[in-house]
Amino acid sequence: MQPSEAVVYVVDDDHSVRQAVCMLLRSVGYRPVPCATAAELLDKLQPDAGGCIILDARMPGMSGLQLQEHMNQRQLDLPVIFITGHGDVDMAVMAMKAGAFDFLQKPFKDQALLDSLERALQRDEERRQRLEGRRRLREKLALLTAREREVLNGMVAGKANKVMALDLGLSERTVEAHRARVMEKMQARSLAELVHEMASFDNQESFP
Amino acid sequence: MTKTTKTRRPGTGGLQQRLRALEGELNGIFTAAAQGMIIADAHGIIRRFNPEAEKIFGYRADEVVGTSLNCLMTDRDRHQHDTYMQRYLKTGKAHIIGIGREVYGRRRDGTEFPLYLAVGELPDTGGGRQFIGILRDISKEKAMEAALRVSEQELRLMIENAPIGVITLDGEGHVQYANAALLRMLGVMVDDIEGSSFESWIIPDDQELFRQFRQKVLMHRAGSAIELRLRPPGGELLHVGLHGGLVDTPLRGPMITAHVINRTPQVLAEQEASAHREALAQVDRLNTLGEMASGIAHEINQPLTAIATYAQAIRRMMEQLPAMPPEMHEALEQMSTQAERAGEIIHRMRGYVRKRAIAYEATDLNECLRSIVKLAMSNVRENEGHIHLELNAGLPRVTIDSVQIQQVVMNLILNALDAMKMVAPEHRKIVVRTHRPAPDCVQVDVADRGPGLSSSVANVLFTPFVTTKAGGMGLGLPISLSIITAHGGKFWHAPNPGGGMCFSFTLPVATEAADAAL
Repeated sequence: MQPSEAVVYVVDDDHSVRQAVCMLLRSVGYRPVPCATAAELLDKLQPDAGGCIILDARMPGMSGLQLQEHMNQRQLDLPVIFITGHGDVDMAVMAMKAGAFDFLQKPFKDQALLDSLERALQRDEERRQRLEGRRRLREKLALLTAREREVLNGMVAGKANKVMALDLGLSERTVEAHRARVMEKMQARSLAELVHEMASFDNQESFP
Repeated sequence: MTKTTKTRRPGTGGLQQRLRALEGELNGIFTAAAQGMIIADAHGIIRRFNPEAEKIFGYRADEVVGTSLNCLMTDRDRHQHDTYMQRYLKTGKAHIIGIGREVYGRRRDGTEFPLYLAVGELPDTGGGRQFIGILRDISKEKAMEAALRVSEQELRLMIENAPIGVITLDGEGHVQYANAALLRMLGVMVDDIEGSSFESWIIPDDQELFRQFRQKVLMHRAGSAIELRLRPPGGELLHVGLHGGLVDTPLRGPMITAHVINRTPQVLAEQEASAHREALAQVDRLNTLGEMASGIAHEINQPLTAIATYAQAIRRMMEQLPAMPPEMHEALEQMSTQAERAGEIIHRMRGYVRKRAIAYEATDLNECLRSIVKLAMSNVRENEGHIHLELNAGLPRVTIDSVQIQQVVMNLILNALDAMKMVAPEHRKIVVRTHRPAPDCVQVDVADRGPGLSSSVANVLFTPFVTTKAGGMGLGLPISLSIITAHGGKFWHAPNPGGGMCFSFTLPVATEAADAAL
């Protein structure tokens, strides 16, 4: 993802900090969205779009840490970079435990923030790609008939056509035909590619 | 003598006249003397018996003159009288004559009584040797003496067995007497201390004090009191109060007699309380500094962040323009570097303050509260308030830094006292309560009967540097909040049912204890 596409939410109750950080981000091509409070962030947040949240840990109202917990509960998975004027170890530990991506102490070096931001967006991109891949796999799997699904499972398990034919009570030719359709519908160029695609999501989700 | 009389013959009449006058004077003395006078001859036959002797013995003179002295004596003395008299007559050595002694007499009614008797021999004027006894009934003195002896014995017993130490020192400061309580206090035997210099029992630092005390008592003859530390050989240091005064004795000169009260337990308790107070004050100072640094860090770091970030944003924007003067680049770079440096200083300051040792220990919370409430009592009394403890006896131990928690509670008690200043003293009641609202935590409430808090005050209660008290720093509650948060607890306040405020905090119970309760 290019910097220009990423949405970076800057949440800080201090107007000057908010504005300065947004200005810095714009200077390198990001599209910052300033938010004065946690509530404003939740209001503006587009969960499906990629991005990152730069969050002041201590704010009146809902604190940064409370916001993080709130987002965890709602499964809003955008990476969060905490920035805080109270850089004590306890708070950093709590933030990281709550799933923060990074923790920077104010005042920070611009490059430190930008580096951290780049890594956060990278991770978010990977996460989004994984989500996308999973979505596409689910779509492709939905095209398969029940019989084709059985054949797919046999293929992934490394069974020969002859064995599958015996297992499923089909002729070897029929199995071959199902197999070709599976490869076509799954848009797989080789058996290895298909097995890899299936395996990479196998441990994350059980297929319908 | 005969010659002389002869040469003065013409004046014989004058002499006799003078003799008669002398006889008259003697008679007068004999009659009026306040002492009994008895004249007897060498055979013990009474020749004269004066009115005072009549009074003492109960005999009229005419009853006893011409009879033996024996009737006036006890059986024992009577026998001895004969012996003495014979010895004296034989040897001329008197054991009583010219000396006087105490003997017993017998009155007419047969009662015996002590009397003081002096005997002298009169010049022999031809009628044989005569003796005069001058005597005084001393039964009253004797009775008084006996009574005195009894009361002195009683007094001695009382002093000896008094529960506090009693000591008598002579003019040089040597111990003349030490009672049993003092010996017990010092853990010594009577021979160890009597005759010793009392100063040698005092630790060197306090000896000068004792010398001043002695001087004050001896010179100004004034009672005085001092606090001293004694060090008996091989024993523990003793803190004693010495209250002494002067006793003038005719025989032994001025003496100091003093009470010695062992104040060691009180002094140790006071020292402990004062060390406790000092530890609290120390924690208070560090916490205050920490909270100030924390507050300052937050306030200053915000603008510093803005400065540094603005400068970097401008630098990055200008880098995209065609010719950026290198000096400008440098200046913008420096701006952010300097802002970061300022931030680093603040960070280090906080780190320094935070570096205090926090001692988490499994603690009996009720015990911890009792001890701090005891310490707060002087403030409570000063403010005419009352504290009621409602401590739940079944609480599990909590893992806390008890000095920090005590600081929180002390702070809440002082706040409560401040809040009730305008309330009538009889209603100035603080309740300190412990209970266990859930298996995984215990709760402490500190409730007052003050006027409560307005919502505008309640909103800024935990904001550093905001205070409603003249001279307050506005850090007490923020510090308390920090302490409780660091312990993993919650801190809040609510109106106290029936009036006033109730501040509460929880402390997590160690996991095993919480599990055991489930």
